Amino acid sequence: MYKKVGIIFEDATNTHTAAYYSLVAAMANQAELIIMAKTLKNGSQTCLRYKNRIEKFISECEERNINIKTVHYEQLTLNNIEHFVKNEDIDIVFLPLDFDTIKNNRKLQIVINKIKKLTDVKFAIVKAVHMVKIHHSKVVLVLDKKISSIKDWGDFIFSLNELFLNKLTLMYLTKEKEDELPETLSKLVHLLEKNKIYIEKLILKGISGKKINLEAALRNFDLIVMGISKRSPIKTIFFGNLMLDVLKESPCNVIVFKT
Amino acid sequence: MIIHKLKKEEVFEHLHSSQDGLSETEAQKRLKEYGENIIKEVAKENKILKFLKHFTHIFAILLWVAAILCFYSEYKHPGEGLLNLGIAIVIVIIINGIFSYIQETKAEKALEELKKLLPYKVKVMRDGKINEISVNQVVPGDLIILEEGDKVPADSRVIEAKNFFVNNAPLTGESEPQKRTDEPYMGEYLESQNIVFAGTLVVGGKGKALVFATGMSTEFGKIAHITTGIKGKTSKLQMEIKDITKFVGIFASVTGIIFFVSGHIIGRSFWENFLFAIGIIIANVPEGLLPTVTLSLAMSVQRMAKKKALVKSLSSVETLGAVTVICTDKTGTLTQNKMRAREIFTYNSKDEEMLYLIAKYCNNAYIDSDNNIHGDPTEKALYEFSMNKTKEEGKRISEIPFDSVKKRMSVIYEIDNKKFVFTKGAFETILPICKYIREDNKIIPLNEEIISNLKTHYEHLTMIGLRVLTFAYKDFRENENIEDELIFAGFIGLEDPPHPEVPEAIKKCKKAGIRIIMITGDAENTAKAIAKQVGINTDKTLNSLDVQHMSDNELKDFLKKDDIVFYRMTPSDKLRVVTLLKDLDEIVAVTGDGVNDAPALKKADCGIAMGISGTDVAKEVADIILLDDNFATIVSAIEEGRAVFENIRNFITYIFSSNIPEIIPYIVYVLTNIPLPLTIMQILAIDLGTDILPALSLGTEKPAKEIMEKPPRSEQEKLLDLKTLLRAYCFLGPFEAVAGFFGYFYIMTNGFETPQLSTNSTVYMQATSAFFVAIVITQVANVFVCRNSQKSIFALGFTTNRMILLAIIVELLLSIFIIYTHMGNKFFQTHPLPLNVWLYLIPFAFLLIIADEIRKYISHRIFK
Repeated sequence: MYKKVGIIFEDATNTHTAAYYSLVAAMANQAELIIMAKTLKNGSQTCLRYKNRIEKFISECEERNINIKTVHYEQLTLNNIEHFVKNEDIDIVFLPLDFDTIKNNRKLQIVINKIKKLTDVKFAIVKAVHMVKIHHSKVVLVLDKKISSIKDWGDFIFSLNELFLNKLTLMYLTKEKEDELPETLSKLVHLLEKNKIYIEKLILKGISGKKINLEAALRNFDLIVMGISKRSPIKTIFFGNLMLDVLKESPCNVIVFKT
Repeated sequence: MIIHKLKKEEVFEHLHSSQDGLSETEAQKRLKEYGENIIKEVAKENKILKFLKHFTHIFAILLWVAAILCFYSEYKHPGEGLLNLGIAIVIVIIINGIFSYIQETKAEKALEELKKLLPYKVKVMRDGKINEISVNQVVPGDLIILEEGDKVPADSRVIEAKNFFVNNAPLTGESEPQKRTDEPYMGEYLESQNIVFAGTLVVGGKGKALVFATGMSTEFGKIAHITTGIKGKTSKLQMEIKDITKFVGIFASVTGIIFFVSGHIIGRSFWENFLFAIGIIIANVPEGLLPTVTLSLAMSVQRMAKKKALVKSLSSVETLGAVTVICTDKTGTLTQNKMRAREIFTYNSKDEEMLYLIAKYCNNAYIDSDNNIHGDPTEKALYEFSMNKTKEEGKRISEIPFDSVKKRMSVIYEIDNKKFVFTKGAFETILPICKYIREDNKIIPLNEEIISNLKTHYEHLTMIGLRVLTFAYKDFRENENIEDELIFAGFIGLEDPPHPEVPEAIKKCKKAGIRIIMITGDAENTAKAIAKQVGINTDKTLNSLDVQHMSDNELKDFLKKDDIVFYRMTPSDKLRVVTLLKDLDEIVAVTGDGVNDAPALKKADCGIAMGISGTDVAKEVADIILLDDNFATIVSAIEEGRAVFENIRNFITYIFSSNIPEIIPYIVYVLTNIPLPLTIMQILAIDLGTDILPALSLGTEKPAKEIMEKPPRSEQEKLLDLKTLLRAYCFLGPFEAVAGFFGYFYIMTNGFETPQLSTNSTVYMQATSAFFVAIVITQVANVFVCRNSQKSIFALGFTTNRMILLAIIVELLLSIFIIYTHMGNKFFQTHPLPLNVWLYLIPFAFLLIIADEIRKYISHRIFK
């Protein structure tokens, strides 16, 4: 269970989408939501707009009875976030990615590597494709055998379901000719079904980001939820990286969990 | 997505925008956040890999191996001339590769040029001012201004609409203009009336819309995702050429090894055998084949471009020739996509004038200062039809706009101080609000008999494929319901006529054994009527629902039938039909213009996009683009494609024939110990010099008259079949070898005293030159006999393909250069020959023609 969920609130429209997902996570865990806001020069137009956006988000959270705390920072980067997170005792941080980072292979790889190195901080990396509030009627969860923190996933999915009354699709990609889910995933399915969440199982043979994106486009998915890739940089050079491929090319929003 | 359910104010709030649009700074920031508004092109092959491919196919690999062996041999035994040979082989590989690459990229460049013609600007409101910016700079939150004729740049929510109509055909296949409003819509997002999608067209009115999705996040982008996900196809020609190169490669390597070993057994030195093995490999590899195939296809591409079919990938030319089924859409391909009024019906002849009046004034089309009419296609057709038939001038007081649910529109018009209500719309919605009709100058109530009469006339007009609109009117009175108690005025039947060439083209297809399947989003009657007009049988029809209820096997059984008309079909139904046809081993050509057609176009063996009405995505994934959107062009292209197959087979026969006189000297050299009758450099001079132009000229052979009277070639029929191979290797080739040896021994017996001659002796060089000339002379005859494997050369005529005559002249000039110039002698180890040697060799050419004529005669008699 998360007690404190953080959101890095940038002066960018895609932050709003990431913030919305942090709200979902806070709801699922009945956690406090920590808004990590930049300190801007008072009086500037940017500052006014930024403040306005934060205020709107706060009122949205309040409507849903979520405890909020806003903390301001001068400069927050992946280099100093660990200290910040520890200070505030945040369990998971929602981090919006902008297109510039996603587009640039090197930049994206650096961000992901930094996140991986921060072993004590849990992240939810958000790629927002649509800036309008989305009614998630179709959410797909990309799972693998080695999935960890089933409880975390379950709780988050449960709250997504609560919030959007959606239909969830569980996508399991396998190398082998399996048509059964492995035990770890069966447990997750069981957990979700116990909570009366409608799940469609989609077992795809062959593992590739292209395949996930294609399915997302074909089936009109609104959100892809997946775990961070554990593939080493050398393996990535030879075999590619499923998570990076999804992040780069997805036709819908993506959340990548690093738990 | 909930944007369509929001109120205007909420939309601005959600997108953090305003009536003044975004500020320039904010727009630039969002551009960084969401990226440019571009649809990424379907993943193209890496240019470097594409280039390298031309240097790594089996022929090239064999030649690389031969070159490396030459260099190694030179290193071990310097001064034996192998360095020059190695360099020559490398030059051959490089020229071959570069040439093939240039030809392959030519067609792609032509397409890129075509794309540059497309408009790329859009009007947006930024900082409260209207700016014109590049489409790729549009970001979420931008307030765009759209007018008739504009292409919607991104998925946007309508904020303001004035008679705003869009054509969603590029996305949904539905060609009827759709009205757009700014009101919230509680239905399905994709059917929402307040959303305009990227790639669609504004066909009427104007409006403002707030962008909420750009680039690959749009619905248009999603289709691009799906399209990239569908695996591209390898054409039959590509596979066959691959098979041929594999066959020749293995054959060359195996014979090289066998003769290396046998040379060793009979006691020749290692390096002699080494040289011999290289010779055998080079003699076997038809070096000129791949560039000739590429060039021949490229020439066909140019001929097709003249016929208004732009071919994007060279091998599609031949694929088109093998097509067994064409899945064609209706609007724009079979028809002209130009709506015009064809029939009118009035109950009373005096109503005609009133009908014209309503058609003209209950209409939002307008004429500009250059006399161009603007509006949606139906309204334009009505305006065009009625504008000169009525002189009355009036003033519009108000309008009840067209509503897709009510399917009608009404206007109140004032003419000569008198106010009228004019209404037009679908028959089923106008008739219930009509109460009267004019009969002999009197207005009488409509009765059952008259209504039945009207229904009969209406059905008649729809049965002949017309889109029928019903017109009504009444005097306007204040405080009276406007659309009620109207007087029936008449019908106007509109048509989208077929291209005049289409019926003949369909007839040709049927004769050529090609089945036609019409797949359209239009209604049954319209589809059937057009099908009948162009000569497609309408006994077998199905609609989208029927298709969806059928299992794959049921649908496959249905698809085996001739002439099928599918109506009210969606693009996904189309994709399913194409997939199942391919499962049935049909070679399928598919036409399409919309974004949604892209998956089917890519799935087809030959995707054909419309050049005029087609969207960028459709053009991008298609193999062929019809520059005139005309079905008849497809048929001409098929004819060309079939000819290409025959021509490639003919020049393969031609090229392979000369392999035998190139290989046999090496075998004889090993077995009999005579001096080598033909050097490797001379083999290269034939394969890449004298043979190239005649082979190419065979590629320019025009389609034979009977080519479209034969069924498509079967799946089993190969480019290089046993018959072709036997003809080249066991019939024509040996003839040439005999001629070669005759020339060789003629010189040897007249000039030499000892069989052990040095390679620099004049007699030896003359003897090999005579062998070379013999091959050239017999290849001159061979080019004529290879023009057609069945038809007599005398029936074809010696001068009907002038390219052949030109090629022969060049071939002979090149031979003269090789034999009679110092440079030619030095490089190819030749020596000038006396004229009588040529004269002694010419009869072999005639003998070859006579022998093949006898073969053709016998085979004609047997297979008749």
